[in-house]
This record gives sequence, structure tokens and C-alpha cells, in this order.
Amino acid sequence: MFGPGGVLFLLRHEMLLTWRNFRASGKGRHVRRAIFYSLMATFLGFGGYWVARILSAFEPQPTPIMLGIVGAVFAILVSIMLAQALMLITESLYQRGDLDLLLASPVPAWRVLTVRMSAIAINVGVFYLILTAAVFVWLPSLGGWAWLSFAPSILLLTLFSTALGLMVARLLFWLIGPRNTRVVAQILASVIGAAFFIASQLPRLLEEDETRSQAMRELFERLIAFFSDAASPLSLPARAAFGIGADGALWAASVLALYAAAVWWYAAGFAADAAAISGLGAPRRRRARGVRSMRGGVMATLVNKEWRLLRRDPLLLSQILLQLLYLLPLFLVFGTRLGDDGFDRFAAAGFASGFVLLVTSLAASLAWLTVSAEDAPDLLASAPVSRNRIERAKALAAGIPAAALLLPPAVGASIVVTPMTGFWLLLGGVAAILSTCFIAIWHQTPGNRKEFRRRTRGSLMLNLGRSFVALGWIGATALAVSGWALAAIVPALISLGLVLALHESRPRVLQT
Amino acid sequence: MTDALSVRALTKKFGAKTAVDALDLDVRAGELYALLGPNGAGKTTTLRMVAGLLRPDAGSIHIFGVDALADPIAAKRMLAWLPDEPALYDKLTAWEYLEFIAGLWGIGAKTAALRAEELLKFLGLWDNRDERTENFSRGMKQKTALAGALIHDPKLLMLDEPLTGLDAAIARQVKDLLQQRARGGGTVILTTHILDVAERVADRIGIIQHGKLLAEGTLDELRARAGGAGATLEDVYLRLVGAVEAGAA
Repeated sequence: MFGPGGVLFLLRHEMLLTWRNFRASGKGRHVRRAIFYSLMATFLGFGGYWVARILSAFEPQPTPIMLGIVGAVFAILVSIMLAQALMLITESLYQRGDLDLLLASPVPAWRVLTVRMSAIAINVGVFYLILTAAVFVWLPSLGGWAWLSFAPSILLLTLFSTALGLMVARLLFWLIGPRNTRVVAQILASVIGAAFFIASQLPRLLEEDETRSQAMRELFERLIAFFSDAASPLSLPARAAFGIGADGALWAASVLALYAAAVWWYAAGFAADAAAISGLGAPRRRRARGVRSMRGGVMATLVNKEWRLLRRDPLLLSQILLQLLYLLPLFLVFGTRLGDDGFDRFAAAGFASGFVLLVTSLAASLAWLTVSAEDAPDLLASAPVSRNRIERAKALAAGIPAAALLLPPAVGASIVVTPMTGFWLLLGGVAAILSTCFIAIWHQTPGNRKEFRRRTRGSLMLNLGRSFVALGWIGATALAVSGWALAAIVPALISLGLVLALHESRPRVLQT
Repeated sequence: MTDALSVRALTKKFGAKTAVDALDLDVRAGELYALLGPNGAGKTTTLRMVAGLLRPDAGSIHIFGVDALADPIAAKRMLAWLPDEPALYDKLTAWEYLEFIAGLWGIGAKTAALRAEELLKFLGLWDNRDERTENFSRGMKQKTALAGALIHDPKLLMLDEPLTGLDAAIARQVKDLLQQRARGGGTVILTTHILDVAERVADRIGIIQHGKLLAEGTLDELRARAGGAGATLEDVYLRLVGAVEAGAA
């Protein structure tokens, strides 16, 4: 167990990798990192204190309402933990170099898998323990001792979520095969993770009147009944947390059994899954292309190449599209206010600025991929094409899809609202897209396409600059659409000024 | 006759380290020139400067008479650079990769398609032309990159360690292709650690160390200078490089 190849040996390896990944994802130097973590600790400690104060005012009594609330909170936690676990499981499976090494060693595959999945449960668990520790540390001093009994429940929830994640991943492998599992699992993880956030915004689609209040009341009552009914297995986690009868032991035993079963089921197919993933490189036939496909100038060649690379990377595309999905609730907020009895200009302003935010976000993602995440920079640098031309083409490849996304709402706003609304939306959106693409060219953060999630690493000032430029255009659009076109000049000028400042602060590079 | 490559007093420093030290180098048109030297001697840095990937701190570079520093675009139109690690786009097929490079170099569609077909067939990649390069072995990737370097028919082809990691059959194919190219009037410069390759294929050999050219010439000329009759390139190389190391010590 402790020797080389043993469970603890492997676990240590997993934990070391996790720690290194965590360190690698950190921003900046030691001082900046220390400041960041100090701020986070202060924020958590402060927030935790207030939560602990509120909790300490109550005795953890298992009343139906309390059971309902705790059950609902646990359900939200499980969904987020499941999303995390699913993401980690697929990542751990597709990190082929590491798995190849482990599977090629004389260590049994089941041991490798058990340790890896335990490491995932530990990762998820530690994260939530740190998060909840901010509350737990205050509870004794504030007289809320009784709430400490919830700590084991958090750990059990992480095991439960990891088990669910394992089962979902195994099921996906079985249903759609290894090639699609990675993409689908990651999309699923993101959707599950955001589900409660998006669902919480759905009531906004209803009219803000008695019907809405009634619907909310009914929903709340059903939830309470759902999570407090002793006959319902869904009430078990909450009842266990309150220490009702033997529910704690029953819940713990169920979770451990489920986890063991999930690991066993997963381990049974693990060798086959790993081999299938290894075989992902199997050739896929495509239709031969003729001479015609080679036509087009340098710009067309470059733009086509960027779009082709994007189209062929469903994982990347899904990550970009999910970013946009997270912004959906924003539209629900403003969309519902475009009432039937006349047009609310503030709602239109919110809607327009939401779209500017959306296209800016899309342009930023695409611009990083096309400009900074170039796979063959030397090839392009040695081509008889000027660097400016290459960068213009790359910016174009990033800007066109974002502009295309902007066009329908701009046309729609021109028809449904007023032509000027559509015009301001288009102007604000295009300005934001152009600024984003230019900044991406001036301040490149070279990286690998696989590092898409870490694309914003780098200078804090640069990230702030980018954000303020986008905010300026969003504000200007909102003001112009609201009918204060003159006032919109102020944020627009601020954005322009910042863009100029970022242009002047760009690193000087070899110009060829 | 204009030299294919003429480098004068080329210098590149990285911090306190001088990677290339006032290097003078001439490569004639139509010859296969091998640049040898120990690790860190400055071979790759020199070729990267010629390819326009690094700006020299001092010196000049002329490619077929064109000043590569003053008019890099015109110079690049004539050359191809193949790094030791093939830089391909994983998600593109071999055909699409060639199509992309042809587009960058502004090659006509018909010419490019014919050339791509010819190269892929010669390199044994024709049946794989519609497969994404992410599925390729290292040898196949190297051959695809080589096809990419040749699709625009460069007057000067520069290759950095082109045979590293290739199996014997593929290495032979690549060597044949390079020799064929030189015989057809093209100029090839390659860096290599494999002295046997340089000995067999190169018309002239340059030995570089600490960013300076120690010696250059045909194998016979190098033998006459440092090896004596019957000496292999390895003997000559070790004698020259060893002498410098001893001098430095």
C-alpha cells in the first residue's frame, strides 16, 4: 500500500499533479499571488462570518421548511459538484501521456483507476471543505456548534457526486463512444453546473404580477414537500445532516456503496475505455478535394484556415458556446421587460448592452485562438506575407463570426424598436469587436489551443484594460439606445483612450 | 554567379551569450550544404535569422542577391524553412495543409494541386492525403512538413535536423529527395548531427562552433586541412572541434 506502485504512492502522485496544475494556473509572481490569496481569504472569512452569524441564530431543527431548504441547497451543491467531477473524470481519462505511462506499468489498472477517482473526490471535497470552512470556523465562537454536524455531509456529497459522475461518464462511453464522450461530457458538465443559475432566472419570463408570485409560492411548497418527505429517498441527505434517527448511517452507507459500485463498474470497462481513447487517432476518410479548393488570395487562405481549425475542434467550440450560454440569463432579465404595452427603452438598452457583451466575449475568445494560439508561428513568420497582413487576417477570422452574431439583433431592433436603436447597437458592437481584436493583436499571450481556459492569464493591468474597454462600449451602447446619445460620447471616449493607451504600451516585436 | 545565400558579419546575442559571432557564410546556388556543429554552436540560430524568424543584432543576409533584412517578403518568397519539430495543424488534413501553404506563397491553384499530388505520391503520403495530421506518426508528420516546404518550389531550402527521429526507410526517402532537388538546380542547406549523412549527401560542409565558422569546404578540402588522406568526416570534425575546445580551455 505504501511502497512504490501502492495506493498511497499513486495517490501522492495524483495530489502532486493536482498541486502543480493549481500552481501553474496561478497568475503572476509570488507577491501578486500572495495578495490575491490574502484578498480571497479575507473575503471568504468575512462572508463566512456573516453566514455563521445567521446560522447561529437558529437551532438546526429538522422542520419541514428547514429540511426543504437544506435539501434544495444540497441538490444545488450536488449539481455543481457533479459538473466538477464530470469535468475532472473526462480530463483524467483523456490526459493520455500520463495514463499510458501508468497503464504500461506493472500496477493493476483497477488500482490506478481507484486512486485516480479517489483523487477526484478529494479534489472536489477539499474545495468545498475550504469554502465551508470559512463558515465552520466561526460557528463555535458564535454558539452554532450544532451546525458542525453538517461537515461530514459535505464530504458525503462529494463522494456521491463523484460516483454519479463516474456512472454518467461510463454511460456516455457506452452510448456514444470515446470520440464523442469528451465533448458531450464537458458540455453536460457545463450545462449541469449552470443549470440552477439559468433555472433561477426562468421565473423572470413570467409577468411580474400575482401569477408569478403564485407560481413561485407553489414551486417553493413543492420543493419543501419533496425534500422533507420522510418516504422520499431525496430527503435522506438533509435528514442525515440533521442527524435524524439512523438516517446518517444509512446515507453514509448508501453513498459508500454507490461509490464502490461506480468505481467497480468504471474499472470493469476501464482498460477497454483507455484503449478506445488511445485508438482515437484512427484515420477518418474524407472526400478528396480538387483543384478548386486551392483558389483564393492570402487573406482568404488565412481566414479559411482559422475557420477550419475552429470547426474541427468541437471541444473548443463547445467551450466558446457555453461561455455564451452563461450570458443567457441576462437576456431573460431584459427580454421580459420588453412588454406589450409600449416599448421600455431601458429594457432595450439592457438588451443591446447584453448583446455587445456577448459579441465582445465571443470576439475575445476567437481572437485569442486565432492570434495567440497559432500552432505554427514559424511557418507563418517564414511565409512571404507581412506580419501585419497575417494579423489582419486573423483578426478578421475572429471578428466576422462575432459581427455575424450581432447582425440579426441589430436588424431586429431596427425593425421592432427604432432604426436608431439598431444603428447604435451595430455601432457599439462593431467598436467593441474591433477594439477586442486589436488588443488581441497588440498584446498577444501565446499559448496552446488546449489552454483555452487559461487564456486570460498574464498581466492584471492588461486584463483590467480589456475589461474597461469592453465596459466602455457596453455603457456607450446602453446610453445611446436609451436616447442619451450625447452622454454616450463619454464612455466611448474612455474606451477609445484606453485602446490608444494599450496600443502605445504594446510590446515591440520583429516586424517583417 | 550570385550566391544562393551570402551572410556577412552576422551576429546574434541572447543576453550575455553570443549565439552567432560575426559569421560569414556563402552557399552557392545548386549545392547541398551541410552545417555541422555541437549543440548550442549557433546553427539553428543562424538559419532562423536567414528565414526571418529572428532579427540579427548586426550583419547582413542576402538571398540570391536580395537583402533579406531590407526586403524580407521578397527573400521569403524564395526560401523554405523546415524546423526540426514539424509544425503542422493537427486538425488539417495533409492535403489541406499543403493547400494552405500554397495559398500563403501565392501559388496558382492548378500548379499547387499538381505539385501537391506529385510530392505526396513521392513521399508515400498520397493515400493519407485526406487524413488529419493529428493521426500521423512522427515520420509522416516530417514528410508532410517537407512536402509543405517544397510545394512552392523554393530556390533555397533550409532544414534543421531533418532526419532526427526518422526510421531508416523514411530517412532514405528524405535524403533522396534532397539530393534530387540539388541535382535539379535547387539549393539545400541542412543542419545535422549525423555526420554520416553530411558525408554522403553534402557537396560542401561548414563546421560551426561558438557562433563562428571553423572550417568549410568539400570533404576532401576538410580532410586536407585537418584530417589527412583517408580520414572520415568524424575524424575531421572531432579534430577541428576538439582543437577549439582545447584552445578555449
